[in-house]
Amino acid sequence: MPPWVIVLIGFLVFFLLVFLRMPFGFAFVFTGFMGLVYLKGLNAALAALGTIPYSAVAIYVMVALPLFILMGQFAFNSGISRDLYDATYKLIGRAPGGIALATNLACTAFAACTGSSLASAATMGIIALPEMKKRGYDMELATGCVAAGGTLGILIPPSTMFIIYGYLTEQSIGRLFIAGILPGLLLSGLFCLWILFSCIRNPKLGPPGPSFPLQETLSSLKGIWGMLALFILVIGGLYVGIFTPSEAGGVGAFGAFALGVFRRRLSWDAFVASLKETTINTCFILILLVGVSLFNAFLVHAGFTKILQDWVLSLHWSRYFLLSLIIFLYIPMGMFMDTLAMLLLTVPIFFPIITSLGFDPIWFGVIIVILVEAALLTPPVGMNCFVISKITPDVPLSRIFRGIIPFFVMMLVTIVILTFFPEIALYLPRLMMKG
Amino acid sequence: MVSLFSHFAKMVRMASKILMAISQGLLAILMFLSIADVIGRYLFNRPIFGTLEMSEVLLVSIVFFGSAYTLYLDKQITMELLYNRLSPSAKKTVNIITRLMAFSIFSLMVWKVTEKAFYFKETNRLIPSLLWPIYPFMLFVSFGLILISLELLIQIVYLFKDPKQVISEGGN
Repeated sequence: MPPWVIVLIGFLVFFLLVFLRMPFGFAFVFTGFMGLVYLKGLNAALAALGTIPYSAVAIYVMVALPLFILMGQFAFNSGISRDLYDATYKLIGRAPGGIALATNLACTAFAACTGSSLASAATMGIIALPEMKKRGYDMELATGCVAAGGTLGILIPPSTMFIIYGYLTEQSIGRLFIAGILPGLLLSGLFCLWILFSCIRNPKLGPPGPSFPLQETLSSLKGIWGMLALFILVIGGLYVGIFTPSEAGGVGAFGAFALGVFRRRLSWDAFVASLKETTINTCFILILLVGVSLFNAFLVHAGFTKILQDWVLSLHWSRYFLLSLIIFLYIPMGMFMDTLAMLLLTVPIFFPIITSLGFDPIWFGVIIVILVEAALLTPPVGMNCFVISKITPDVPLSRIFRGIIPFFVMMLVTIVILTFFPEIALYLPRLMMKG
Repeated sequence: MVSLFSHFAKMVRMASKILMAISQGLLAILMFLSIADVIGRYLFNRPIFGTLEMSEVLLVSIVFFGSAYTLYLDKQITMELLYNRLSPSAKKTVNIITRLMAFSIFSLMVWKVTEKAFYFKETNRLIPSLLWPIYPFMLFVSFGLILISLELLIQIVYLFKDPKQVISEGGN
């Protein structure tokens, strides 16, 4: 049987298992192992089972993953999101669509403390949605802006998705983090422009909030200086090359912990809850990586990525056309798959093709993360929309999904802009290289 | 027989819970180790020797100590779309089959990882720079995998006996 047929069967078995609710990590392990048994024999497959669980986890760069998750958990449990919202609300709440703008900016700032979209959407949703409802905001705009704003958590560093992309493709996690900054700000800016444009065109969608005296506005900034300083220390340290990503994670986690304790915001229970949530997330992500390592060993032994790469290059199609095909493949996939699983399944396959087409691997990382963000919004399994739906049970899910459409379009616009102007993503990492 | 099994299940889940607590403690140690190394390196020019390797083995221990309990909490990434459309009896059958498949692979993993651990012990394989033997950490992996396998086995039995006990309700 030709190897590509084996791989095709492998993929079919894999999808059958995950459709039957086998955890993705276990389905990767099972399919990878069976594939290796067929291709290399039972002994070789068993040998892989004996080494991969340890070797796939004992990797220093992956230490950054739990540490950055922990930083986000400490920030979350210290109530930093409330401080950020208060500051942005007092700063720009009086503008047309001001509360939605403030929410989006608070999400952008919170993204600098956390690498998780769901945490961003959930915390900002709880704080901002009741306020927007009280002020008579259109709930499609309100829920859409929170769900979309939440996705910025994985584009603006620190980002768990960049760590995993870096692990899969052996790219510098520090450069990926830095590459996410300007595209993240661009996307956040486009979200703000859309909110402003809609609310100026139809003021009923988002009436302006109250204005606050300058003194009160300035004093609200007191609550956020610590986190801002921590972000500058962590990302600045990465940028100038003082810290490795894992060290930066350690500094970020400890800094968020110290800030929480110093401001008497982090109780013992919140400390333990942060550790527990981080441990759970670390466990399921790394068990998934163990499975993916086994599955990738199967793909490598089958020569699948090389076969696919040679075939795609033999088509002599425009590289931008091929890129568009890959991007449009992600959109339906994101509708049905968990974003992390989608990343783990597709990056090892598409990455060699993309790099052989001459695209920059760091730039592609940014594009992939934006696609992952989009997948968090698209029905029927757009996780951020479900999170928002739980917070606002009186708003039907269909309205929430309608509300995210303009923000989803902004994400596609960002991808187009980044494709024509890749320097937006690559400028800062290149400066870093020169340094 | 059922009572004996439920005692066994309780013991396994208690062990998973204790290991999860240890895992959380190790995570805190990882954080303090990282910051102590950074402070030592940049403020006193005295980094902690072997931080890189210690961090790696801490990460391994965190993951494999915590995974069985994560499985019990049903926190693994799954896809519900098609599964939700199945009838209760079809769901039960599917759950039994997929868990049996996972159980067989994880049991094989336990066997091979343990074998590898003893091989590393015999050949005196050491962690670079720290020069600590690697086998105890391989045995941690093995122990974590044993608990994952036992959790899967417990879930299979409960699927037959008492489906309410399959996973934790409320995530505690």
